Amino acid sequence: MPCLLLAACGSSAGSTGTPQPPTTAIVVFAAASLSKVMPQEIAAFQKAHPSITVAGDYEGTQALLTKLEADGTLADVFASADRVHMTTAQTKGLVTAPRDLAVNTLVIAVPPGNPAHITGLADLARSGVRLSIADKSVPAGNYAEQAFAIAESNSDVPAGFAKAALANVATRPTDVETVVSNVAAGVVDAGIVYATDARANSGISALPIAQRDQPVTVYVAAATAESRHAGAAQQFLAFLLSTQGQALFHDAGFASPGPTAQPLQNGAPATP
Amino acid sequence: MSIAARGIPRITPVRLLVAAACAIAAAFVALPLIVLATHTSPGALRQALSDPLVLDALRVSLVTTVISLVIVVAIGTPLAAALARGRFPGRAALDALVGLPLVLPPVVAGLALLLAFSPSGPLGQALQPLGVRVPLTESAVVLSQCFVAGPFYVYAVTAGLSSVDRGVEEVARTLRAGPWHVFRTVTLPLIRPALVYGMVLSGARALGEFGATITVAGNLQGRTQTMPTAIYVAFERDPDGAVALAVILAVVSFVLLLAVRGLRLARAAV
Repeated sequence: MPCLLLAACGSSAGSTGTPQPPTTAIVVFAAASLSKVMPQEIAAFQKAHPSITVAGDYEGTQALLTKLEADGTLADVFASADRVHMTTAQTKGLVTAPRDLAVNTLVIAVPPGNPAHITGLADLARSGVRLSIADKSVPAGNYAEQAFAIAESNSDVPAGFAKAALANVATRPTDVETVVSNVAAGVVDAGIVYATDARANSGISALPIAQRDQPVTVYVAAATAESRHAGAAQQFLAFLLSTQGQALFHDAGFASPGPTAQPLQNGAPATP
Repeated sequence: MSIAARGIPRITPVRLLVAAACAIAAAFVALPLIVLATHTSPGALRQALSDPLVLDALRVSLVTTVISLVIVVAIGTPLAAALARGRFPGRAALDALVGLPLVLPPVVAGLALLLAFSPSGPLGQALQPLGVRVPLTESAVVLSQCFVAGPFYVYAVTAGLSSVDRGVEEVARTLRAGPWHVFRTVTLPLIRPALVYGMVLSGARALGEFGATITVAGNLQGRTQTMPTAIYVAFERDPDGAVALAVILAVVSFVLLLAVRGLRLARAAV
């Protein structure tokens, strides 16, 4: 009993006596489609690094880049949903050394019960079908248009498909999350979203798009050039690329940046 | 000691405080807008005004705002009369309910409208047999504008009607004038400033509506993309174009409000 008391005393004295190590707070700007997995990554990272706290801001990649352009100190890490926006950030000197993070795939999302009886890409061009596809400035919207064009050039859909499908678009939201909610609310018959979005939202069903019709949907992350906590930012990036970090991406339905996505520096694409 | 010349108000601590408050308020609103204006040029404005995206957004905004205003006046005028003159149970509750959109975040209004009019929502289901779909259409833009901008008109007209001296109407009535005649020749001229003020305020608010619109009407150029939606989307794609658009919208709104002030002052002078 005295032992226990002593132990209790000792531990409480220890926790109040020794000052907590100073915490570093970093901000991560992450593409809206990372909004489900990134909080898990952050939680796991903070567990391993108690002295660093990470706050996530999830919006359309293009919106995050606009914010970074206005003030490069707003974030310490930028995770883009495509190469295009990361390259822009790099050209403007906003980020340093981008790394491929994960790869996603596109799916056709339909509301519960699939009221318009969509079975594949070709149905999206049917007359009267209403679609939600992210704005062209949003990576997800750009990818969707690419997928339409690839499918048409692969002759997986009739000629004129891409034009007809785009004419069926009823709205072009500024992030892919809104596409998901449009579909879930049933105000459109279908939308193009990421496989991970469909997996994380029980309110929608996903129909696959053939692998050969998929554009390269790679997420690229980098520390920002003006980060005041470059060390912590690099630690977080390293965690995202670590076995543990990649396992979380896998669990959420992402693939590792492997043969389908070439690293930024090394331009040689992997031949199928 | 006395430095106050004739005509110049004497400086007192209270007046200084009031002047400071006015200056702070004016600067608070004007400064960011002036900075906004300095980020554009006549060339950029001209270019914006020839951009099909801008022209589409202007057209969608103006057409929907006019339709919304017609609906708001048609329904809002009798509503305001009931609120100002009526004696019925629940009048206070109705008054508060009508004003609710003034304090609700517009995105909440949009969400509520979306859920109500979605295919599984009660109103959406009621409209389905008629083949009418509201979400992501022009009707949704009008609905959002009516929802958010309507109370501005209703409250302005209610206030106008409440301030009318009922004795004047009584006199007209004792002269055997019918109720419609009394309204047209006595009440209407008295509340005309309130009507115009309410219409302009409501119209300007409808023109600027964004949160509810983008939620329930979505974003499609030429159909549901209004000026505010276009500014939001363009800001991420073409910041210079967005600023030009924003300046155009701010100037139009300011001129509208200034015109109403001028109108009221002119009336007061008569």
